[in-house]
Amino acid sequence: MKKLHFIYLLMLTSLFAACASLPDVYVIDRHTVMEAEASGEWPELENRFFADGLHRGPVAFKKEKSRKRTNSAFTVLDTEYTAKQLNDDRQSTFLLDDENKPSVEMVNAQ
Amino acid sequence: MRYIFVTLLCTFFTIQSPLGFAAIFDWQNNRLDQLEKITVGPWDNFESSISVGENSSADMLYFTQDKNQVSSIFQQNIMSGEQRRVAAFNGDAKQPVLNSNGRLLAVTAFDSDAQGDICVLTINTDSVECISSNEAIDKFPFWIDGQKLGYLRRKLGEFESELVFYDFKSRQTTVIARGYISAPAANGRYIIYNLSQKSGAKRVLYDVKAKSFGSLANIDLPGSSGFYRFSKNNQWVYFSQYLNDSNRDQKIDANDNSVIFRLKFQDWLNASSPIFAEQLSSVDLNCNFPVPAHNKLYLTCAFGGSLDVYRLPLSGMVPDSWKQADIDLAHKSARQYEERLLLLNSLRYRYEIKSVEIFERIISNHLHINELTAASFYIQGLFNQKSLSMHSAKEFLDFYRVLDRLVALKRKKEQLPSSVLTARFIFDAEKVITSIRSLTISPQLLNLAEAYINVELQRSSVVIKQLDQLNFEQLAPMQKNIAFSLYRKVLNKTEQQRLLPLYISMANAENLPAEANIYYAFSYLAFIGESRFDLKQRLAQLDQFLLNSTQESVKNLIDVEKLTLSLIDAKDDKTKNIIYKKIAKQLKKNKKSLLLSKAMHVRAIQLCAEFEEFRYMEFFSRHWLTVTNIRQQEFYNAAQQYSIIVKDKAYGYMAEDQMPKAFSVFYSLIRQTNDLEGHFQYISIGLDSKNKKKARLEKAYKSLTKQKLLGNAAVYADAIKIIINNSDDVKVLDNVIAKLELLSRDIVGASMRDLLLGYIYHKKLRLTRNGYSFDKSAYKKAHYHYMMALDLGRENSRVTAAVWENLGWLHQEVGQYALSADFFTRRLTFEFTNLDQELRLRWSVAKSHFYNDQSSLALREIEQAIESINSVLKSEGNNKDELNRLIPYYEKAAFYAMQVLEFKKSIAYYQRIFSKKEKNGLQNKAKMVLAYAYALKKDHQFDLAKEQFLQVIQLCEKLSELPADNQRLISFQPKRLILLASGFLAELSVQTKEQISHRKTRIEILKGMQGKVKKFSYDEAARLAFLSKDYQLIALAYEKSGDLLFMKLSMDDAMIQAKHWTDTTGDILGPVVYRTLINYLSLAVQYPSQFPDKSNKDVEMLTMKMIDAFEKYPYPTGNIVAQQAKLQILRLKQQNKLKAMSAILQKESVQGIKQVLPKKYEQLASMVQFFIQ
Repeated sequence: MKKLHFIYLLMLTSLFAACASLPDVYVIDRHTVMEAEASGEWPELENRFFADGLHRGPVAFKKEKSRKRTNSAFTVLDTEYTAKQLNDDRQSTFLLDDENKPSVEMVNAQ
Repeated sequence: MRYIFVTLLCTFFTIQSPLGFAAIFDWQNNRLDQLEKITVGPWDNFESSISVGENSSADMLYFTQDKNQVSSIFQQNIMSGEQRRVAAFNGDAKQPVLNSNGRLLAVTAFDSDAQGDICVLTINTDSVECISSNEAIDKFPFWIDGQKLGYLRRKLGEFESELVFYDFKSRQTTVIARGYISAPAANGRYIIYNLSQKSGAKRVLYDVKAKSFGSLANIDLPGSSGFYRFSKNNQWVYFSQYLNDSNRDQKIDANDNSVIFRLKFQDWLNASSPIFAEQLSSVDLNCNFPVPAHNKLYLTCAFGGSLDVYRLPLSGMVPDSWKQADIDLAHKSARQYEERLLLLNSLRYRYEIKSVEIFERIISNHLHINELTAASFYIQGLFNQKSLSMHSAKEFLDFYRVLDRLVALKRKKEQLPSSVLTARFIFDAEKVITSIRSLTISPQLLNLAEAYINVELQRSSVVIKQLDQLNFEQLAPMQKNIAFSLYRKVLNKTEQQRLLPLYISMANAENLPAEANIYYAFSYLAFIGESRFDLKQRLAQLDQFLLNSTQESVKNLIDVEKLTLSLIDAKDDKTKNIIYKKIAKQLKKNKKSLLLSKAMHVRAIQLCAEFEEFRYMEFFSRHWLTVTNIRQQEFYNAAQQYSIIVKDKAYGYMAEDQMPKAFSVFYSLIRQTNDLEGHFQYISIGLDSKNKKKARLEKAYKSLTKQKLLGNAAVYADAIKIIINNSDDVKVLDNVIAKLELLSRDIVGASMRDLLLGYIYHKKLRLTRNGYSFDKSAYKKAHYHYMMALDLGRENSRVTAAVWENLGWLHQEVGQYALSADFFTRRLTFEFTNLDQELRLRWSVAKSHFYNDQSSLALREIEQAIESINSVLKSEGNNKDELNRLIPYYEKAAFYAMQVLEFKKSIAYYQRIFSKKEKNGLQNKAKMVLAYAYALKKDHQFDLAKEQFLQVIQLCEKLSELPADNQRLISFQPKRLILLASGFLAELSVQTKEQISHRKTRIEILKGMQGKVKKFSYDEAARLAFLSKDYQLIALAYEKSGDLLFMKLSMDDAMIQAKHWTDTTGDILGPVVYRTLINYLSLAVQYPSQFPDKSNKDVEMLTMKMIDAFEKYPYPTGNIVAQQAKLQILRLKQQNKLKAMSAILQKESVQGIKQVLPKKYEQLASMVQFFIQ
């Protein structure tokens, strides 16, 4: 509301200050004035948008769009290059104990 | 058949889920500690200080908030997130630092000194005391102990700073040191700070007790250090390290990306050589301003759009409990080079590993992410290693000597604009070539070095020749890697096929580590995938590869690729299943190698995605999860990929409206990962009556509860059930909030918790809103939780999109239109799931743009919406209902087009609406006709415009007022439309009689508003101004028609309204009264017989007052002087004092405007001349 009042004042200020002699023709062309008066109202549409637009959960996109997320899951990094004996490195890529492995495996499901 | 298979699988996992392990092993947190967000944007929040309360709910964070270049101090309750500005500082303030008991807060304040003063707030009393003078730039306060405060002072005009102590007891200020000082910090006994000198920067130690200075050892890290802070127990010093020139401004300083480190203070005191520090944050997070509190480390990080305060354990991101083997495993599971660097540095620090090998590994990672300054530093560090003799084969040393020079040259290249070569750089490059040639190195290495330099010199053809001359077999591992990367850089698209044999060679090279072979084989597979080969050609390529392959692990990877392609190519499910079993066997066989297992699974998944074999894609994904050891950090990554794939599958079913299938898959997701997103969708589908799943839902949750698989997720699941069933009762919402806020964020899909909390607060805001007044606390909390959800779900586009839209709505509802438009616009960067969603978003963002004075953007969005509707209509055939759907969008397009002065476009849209002959309500019609008439007028179609304005008046006579409500914030007043239409009609009327009649209509309405202006959304000053103006215009019309008596009477009326305006506003020089007086006097001098002197006492009185006010104007501008002179001249003319008029022109002030406002002076002079003649 205050904004509207302010605009009226602003309008008058610019209007009057612009006059150099007798008053000029009176023009209203401030968009906020026109907005209040001349913008259509579509309550049915707006109420529906208002209610539907608020999400309590995620938007149901068919595919995950975040490249960072998918990249992070599926990235294979380049190696750290050293001059150390290569045989050691070859061993170290093969890991580790088999302890605590999950008992459920897809192959068993078939 | 497929459905049965899926159902069987789901049933199987229902019975035997790996989630059962979660009860005994917390795999979700078996990873690097993540930054926990404390403050939220969109404004920058930084430089924190912590006050620890009696219990954690009283812990307070003080920080600087920078909003539109204005810095303020804010306080935030760490537990609740509630935030307020510290109002005690009136102007800008920053750098808040609490003393040890949390009662005094020192800041740099700019209230009374734009250069900065040091001020101290006593928290309990809210009183502020400023202790520094206005004659210097004072900044960086820090507490020495409870009574002494230190800060930096720089006197105006000087370059060096003083390190100053202020003693609160004695009120004495003491200068301790002078120089180029920065980053001071203290622990009661010691002060440390940086001192820049010509010879370089050093760290100074000042002993407060002994009053003596000493030097501290350098820190064994690349770049420069700053912002030191002691831990509460004084054992540690935390600091920021700027490792690299990340902003490429040719210097490493506080504008570059920063990393947090810490070192033991006693070790530092004892050190005589550079001391290594423990890395606490990852390079990519760009964190600064570390503040160690009792249990947590608070820090400011710059990622995710704004600077914000986060926290970590005091030991940083690498958990304190991790043993060397854990760090090794985490390193093998890392998905980023930055993560690897953090882990390697932790190994170095915690286990004092000083091998040459670890330096090489660090150098490798820095080179992979192009951090050249750091790479140079570590190459130098490698030369200084005592253990280097073990590796001191000449070839080894030669390579790093050469690499050192190449990296230094590349750093210079990085400082040049892209693709630009300067003469200086070419000269430097030639110098490096000469210097390398002067070394006695192998021809191979020299050739490689020259190829490297020629790449920087953009000489591609020379580079290929040089690379072709290399004998790859003889190159050391990193040399091979460099040579290959040079090939990749210079081979243009048409020559890319040349890379194929190189990939094969790298993947099978005996003298490369096995993991490098796998990496190159994996890259090869990705490369042929991008190379437009069809499936058969790909298989042929793979056979070719196998013919040349010697490495067992690589052969296995290629085998899996081949089998997966065969599976994709198979025509029936039976064959596919047989092949799948073969692949699974192969995958199982290689599961002990993390890298090979990952590479195989990733390729299988990516191929299935590429050829849309989504069923098997999920099988491979699930397989990866099930063969990964739950106690290894890799399990978290396997769970992440599984979550992505399973969710994509479930959402795919949702998009196809196959809700029962989506329901089953979400259940599978819950059992595997307990992800809150799975719970949300599972419950949402289950509670939707059309899916008929309520009983199944209830049973499932009973079973999950019985098996103790829910954990804290049960709180969320209960909350979402309540909210879906009843979200319009504020009491119910408050109860849910109370429970949800206790739910820890330490849970998979934690962003869902904050999204739901934001939603509930937002709902509360809507339910309790009354016109313009709304619950500010609910608004702030909704914003806070949405921003937290955004942070926690930043890699989840579904959550991100939901939050952006909610934030758009939230800020639109409270009138923050710029923010609202920004949030909606971010949402628009994602896709739409249906047309209605697109229309809603475009409509809403257009509204926010319009209120934010960006009507052109509003028009663009609405026209895009129209285009989208039209394309649907085109594909579905134009039916009447759908066509009617366009009308509101046409109306908005017409209206926004009018705002951006595109009147022809606006007219065309209005005409389309009127041509539809749809009933859109009289009220809407009146508004649209008014806007249409206005557009016609602006388009110079005056007759048509006049017709339409008259129609507005006719329509409005049939309408009644409509009160304001939550949607219509300004009441609808038909009289306001008549007022406007009459004004325009008066303008358009040629006949003075008509003009006067329309003006009188306006005056009647304006008079009728007296005492109830608010109802009409006016204020009294505006009403009076309009009245005065209308009377003056009537006077002009009477003058034109020769009715001079009425002219005079109308001017008297105008003067009455102008006087009321002055009385109402208290403004004696205001434009309304000034202009009315000028007009009155102008007519008076023109028609003296109608306006005898002193006939209007108001004019007399107001003129005298105004002249007096002009005289007393403190700093009169040229315009003020001109206004005053004009008024005086007219007044003197009316009194016939001609000499005095000339004297006005001679006044010094009036002569002064000759230069600055020559036209105004000329007007005054010509007026005087005219009157004298």
